[in-house]
Amino acid sequence: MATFSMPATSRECPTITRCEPGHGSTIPFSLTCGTMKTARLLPRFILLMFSSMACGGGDTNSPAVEGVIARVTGDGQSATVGTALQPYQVKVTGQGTAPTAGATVQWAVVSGGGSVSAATSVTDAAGLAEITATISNVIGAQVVRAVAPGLIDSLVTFTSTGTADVPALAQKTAGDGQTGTKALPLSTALAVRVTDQFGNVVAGVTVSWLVIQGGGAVASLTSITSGAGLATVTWTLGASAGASAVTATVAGLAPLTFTATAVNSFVVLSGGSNVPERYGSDLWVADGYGYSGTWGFRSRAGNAVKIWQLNGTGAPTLVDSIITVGIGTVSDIEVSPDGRWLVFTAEGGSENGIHVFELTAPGVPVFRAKSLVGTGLHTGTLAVIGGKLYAFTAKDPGSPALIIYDLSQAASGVLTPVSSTPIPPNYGIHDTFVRDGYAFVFAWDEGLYIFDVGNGSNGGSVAAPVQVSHTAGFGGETHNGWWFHNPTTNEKKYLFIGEEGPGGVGTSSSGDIHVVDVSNLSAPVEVASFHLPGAGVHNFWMDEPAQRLYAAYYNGGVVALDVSGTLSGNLGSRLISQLKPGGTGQTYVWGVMLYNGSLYVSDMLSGFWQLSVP
Amino acid sequence: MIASHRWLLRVALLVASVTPPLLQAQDRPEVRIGTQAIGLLTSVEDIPGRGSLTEARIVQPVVMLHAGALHGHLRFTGTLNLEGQTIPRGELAPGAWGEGYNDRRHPHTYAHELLLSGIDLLGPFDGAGRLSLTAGKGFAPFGSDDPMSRPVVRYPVNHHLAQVLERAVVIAGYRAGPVFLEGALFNGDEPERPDQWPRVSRFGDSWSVRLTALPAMGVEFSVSRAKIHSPEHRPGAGKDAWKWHLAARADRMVGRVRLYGLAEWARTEEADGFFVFSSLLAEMAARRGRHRPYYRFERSDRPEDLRTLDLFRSVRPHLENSILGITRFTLHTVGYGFAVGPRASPLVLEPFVEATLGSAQSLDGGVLTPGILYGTTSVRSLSVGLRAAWGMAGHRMGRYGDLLDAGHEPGMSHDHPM
Repeated sequence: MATFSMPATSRECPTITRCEPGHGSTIPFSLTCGTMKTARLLPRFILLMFSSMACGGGDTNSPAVEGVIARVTGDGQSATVGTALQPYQVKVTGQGTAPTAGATVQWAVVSGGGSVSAATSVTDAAGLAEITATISNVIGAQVVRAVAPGLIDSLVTFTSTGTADVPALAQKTAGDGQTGTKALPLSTALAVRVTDQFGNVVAGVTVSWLVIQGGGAVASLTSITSGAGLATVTWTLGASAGASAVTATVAGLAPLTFTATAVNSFVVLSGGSNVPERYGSDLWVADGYGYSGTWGFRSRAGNAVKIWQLNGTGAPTLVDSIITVGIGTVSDIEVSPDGRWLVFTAEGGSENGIHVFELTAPGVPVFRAKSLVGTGLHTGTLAVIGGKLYAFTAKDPGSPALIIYDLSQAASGVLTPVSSTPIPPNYGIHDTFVRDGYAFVFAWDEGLYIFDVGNGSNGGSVAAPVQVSHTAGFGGETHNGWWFHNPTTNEKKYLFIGEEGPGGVGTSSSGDIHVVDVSNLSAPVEVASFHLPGAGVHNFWMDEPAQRLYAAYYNGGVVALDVSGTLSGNLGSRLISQLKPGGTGQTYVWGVMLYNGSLYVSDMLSGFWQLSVP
Repeated sequence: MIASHRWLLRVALLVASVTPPLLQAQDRPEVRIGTQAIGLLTSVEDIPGRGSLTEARIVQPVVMLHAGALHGHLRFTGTLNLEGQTIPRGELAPGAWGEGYNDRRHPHTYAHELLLSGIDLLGPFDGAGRLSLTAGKGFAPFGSDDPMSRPVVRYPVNHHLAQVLERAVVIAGYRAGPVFLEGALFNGDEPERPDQWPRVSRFGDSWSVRLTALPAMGVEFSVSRAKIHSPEHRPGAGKDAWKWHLAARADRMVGRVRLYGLAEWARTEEADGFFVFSSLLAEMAARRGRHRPYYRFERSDRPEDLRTLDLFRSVRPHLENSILGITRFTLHTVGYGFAVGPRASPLVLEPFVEATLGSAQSLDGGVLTPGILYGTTSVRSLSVGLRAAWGMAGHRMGRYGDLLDAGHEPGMSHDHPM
């Protein structure tokens, strides 16, 4: 037992002694008080009282005698919660090993809940006493104490474990109601928690998973609940956009249904962070190779064309570069339809103009010809007209003009300008789209010019383009375009125009997509537009059979629009998907191009990417 | 060369056509000629593309002609600037920008100022008020004086935020006591070459107003507002700039010391507020005897344009509406000049030393940051030079009509520049 003796004055240390039944000797605790005041001793006093209770089992008057109590049977059992255990039995012996008959043993649950069948029992002639304990409704350890008062070794404990009852309830804990990209795993695994009738988690229960809507697959048809009662599975959505569902079933319980929505979305497949020394510009992909330009000044000038080899899955690997000393920016790049010619335009240096390389093999360019234009060429578009390959180039500063080059003699080093059509210097000419013998010239504040350059409708030719129409508008900063030939409807009704508004390169941009009805090429009329908040559009590509427009959106990344059917008014609802391949702050996409089912992206900040399309 | 000297012929013809009638029309026509040039050796530690650069140049070579006739009712202001010959690639100056130059201050056009002013045109008909009209090529009434007529040799970063210069301008000014109101129409296009003239076809597409109050001799407060159409795209398709400018200026004798101080705030919005550039500047100088210490603090924003292979230059005309970032320069410039010329002579010879220390920080995380451009955010330059001037009067560039000599204390005009 323990005693507590208060010193004569509060400035002296009280002595706390530890129980030594039957011996009466004291072992002082190493407590000191110094100048401690009496009030501060109260916690120690309380501690002492607890010590006293623990030592003596409550009987402080009986003298301790020699003898022991020991466990015989019943310790270490495991049983379902709420059920009775096999009896706990103790044996009390006196001096030596002689059984002590008639000794009273006190039983009590120390922790874990539950109950004992009797608070006391008396030893028989063999010194044995027993009771029965019942586990509580909560899983976990239950500790029962048996005390034989008055003995030197008077205390033993029994520990048993309560286990969960059979599953009574299954609940969804994660993964329900997600929206994810079709054909891809959902970001959060589906999870079910199983509990018994008392709410205890049940481990080791089999949960069966079954896709019942939308296709796709679960990673495993069954999974087993963990110690936390949880069973999880990864769900890969089906190949089609729309509603999807999976059931989770625990035997004997009602199935649970997880739902998800599969959506069309871009997904990064490969590439990125692969042009760290330069800013990217335009791109083209042909015959298993990608070609991307560079722009301005990073740690090096934008005088490079990067050559990317695409592997079997379309993933790009940088294999070569064309470095052209004397240029500051590769402003546009294209491969001819027959795959023979790689053409790029250049600005910002002394070698400004058009540069032509022959692809003697895919990915193997050999320089053939150039035509220098002092103030540079902003863009170059290749088109075959009358069986000849021409480059439609945009000359800007000074005296803006649409300059058309004949490339038929490029192998001999000759680029012949066949015509130069002045464009008013109202910020000049930015891009040209050529199709069916018409050249659509996107001329900034001037708007849209349409020239007959070989169609014949207006008697024009590449040597003598004839203006079909001139239309201002489209946001006032007409930058680029694509004349949509819809193979589904056989319509050639819509021209998509990109408006390039003010922007801080790398951080901000502005400008919308304008949809122009060019059913009558002589009188184009804007009929619809698309605005992406916080970003402005740059170059386009189209998947015409799928009736989709892909647009580079600078800091907005890449955007896919559904352009099927009639286009009118605000096309905000036509947005299929948007992705910033480099992430926010590292995305400023210049151009996109669809090739072999992948969308290739040239990002000014984060390099050359391969994306899957929505 | 022929083209580059056409301006000489134009100046000569104009002066010839104006000056003789003046001489005939009054008893004592006033003609004042001054000239100045500064030999400058400047070393800059961190230049575009990294590294350091030291250059020796002759800067601010000007010949100035002021003439007056009709008892001061007709004034001619002409400033010939020869920087097109002495610094055709610009003057090394970290942070400087404008007219296609970056980190180099651009050369001005040969015909820097060429204006005729009619002063107090209504005579007694408007009572104590004085109406003036000024026409020609020069500064629009906006902002503060041309840095060339201020104490620090190095041009401030805010030159194109706080001044509108070298325009074909018509200014109407009205003075009522100590208050001056000026309004002007001019062409918005900035020059791109020293021999370039304003585009006459664009005259009137831009305007500015300035209200100036002179509560005491040598003390001046002003507020200016301007709208400039397409300054960086000469044909006129560029974005408009809307400008504000506030200034307080003092220039007066205190005892035996001539004290000068200027504090100004400027703000330019472009593309309907898509871009905003601001500036705070304070400078001061004191002259006593031959000694002239001076100091300038400046915190000004610079738009970063697409550079050419020569990283000191940007593409002109500006092709698109984008910029590559905004850099904020925070600079301290301190200098000291010691006049060695003969006292009481129109000739001024003043050796000086001038140092600039500060920092450049990207404001918006654009793609052309100081780290990329210079490899550092520090700005360090040191200049030594010799200012040689003869007969330079107190003409504050950018002040015409009744404001031409307004605000000077008597006897101070010949101290120019401070």
